[in-house]
Amino acid sequence: MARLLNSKGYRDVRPLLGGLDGWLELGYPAEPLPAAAALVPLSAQSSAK
Amino acid sequence: MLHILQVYRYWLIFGLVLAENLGLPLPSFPVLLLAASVSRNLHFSMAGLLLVSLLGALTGDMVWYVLGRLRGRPILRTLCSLTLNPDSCVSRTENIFVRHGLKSLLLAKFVPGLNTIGPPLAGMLKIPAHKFALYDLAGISVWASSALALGVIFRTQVEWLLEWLQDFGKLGALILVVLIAGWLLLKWVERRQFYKLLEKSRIAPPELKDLLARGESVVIVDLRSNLSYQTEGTKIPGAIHIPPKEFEARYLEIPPGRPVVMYCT
Repeated sequence: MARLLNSKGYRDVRPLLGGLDGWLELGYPAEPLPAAAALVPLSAQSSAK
Repeated sequence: MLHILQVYRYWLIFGLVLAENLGLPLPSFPVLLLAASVSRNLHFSMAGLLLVSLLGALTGDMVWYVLGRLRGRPILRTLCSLTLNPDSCVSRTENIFVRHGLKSLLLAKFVPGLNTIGPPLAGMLKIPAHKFALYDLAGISVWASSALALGVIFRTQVEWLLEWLQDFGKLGALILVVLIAGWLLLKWVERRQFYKLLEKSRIAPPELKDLLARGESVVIVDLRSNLSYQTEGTKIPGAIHIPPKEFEARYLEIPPGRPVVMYCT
């Protein structure tokens, strides 16, 4: 995919080493997904209310 | 130079090759080439020259291999500490090695940087010693025999150059020193370029965090599938989510002209 972007004219494309897991393992900040995208189980939703 | 070669003979070659493979910036390739050129006058045998270079280089490489095996990552980090970003240097060299395996040792002697990092990396990755020695020997043979072959092919030119330097007397010695300094500079530049290449291929998490902290306009693209994206529940701050299946249709959402970092799970 990085190569596809390169061919479309994006010059500086780099994959992140270790992916999201590597990022979280180091304790780096993450942000919650936008509410619309989050797939929260129904049971959890009702118990939260 | 010739005089030193005449006195110390094979020991000089052995010492130079050994020291260079231990990591000192020494011009053993040109000296080996020179020795091959003057082999007739100084009575060097090609087999002897090849043998001492093999022994010297293998000894130096084995020392690093063992260090890599015993100490692992810290050794690599020390070697990489010459670069701006030790963390990413280590992980990226690892990448090259993991991708090309032992075969990368075959040409490693010609790649500045990889020639120093290859052996400790092989040790760190617990590649069996006999396998490493075999591939390393093959790589050294390629390297040493090309120096010897060049020396024989350009014998007349080398002799001509030596005579020319002798005519100059002291100035000749100075020219020689300048030539050697030039060679070392060239190798240093090559090594830096190798590290730069390593820096480019991938980005390590600490580096990305630095970029974000400095407020650089990096575009982060989250390439996880919809399912894993939703079950995880978090993403790197500011990331745009484009699942791999939709990537070709939606890549235009990535603003052009800015550095892009992609990640998946």
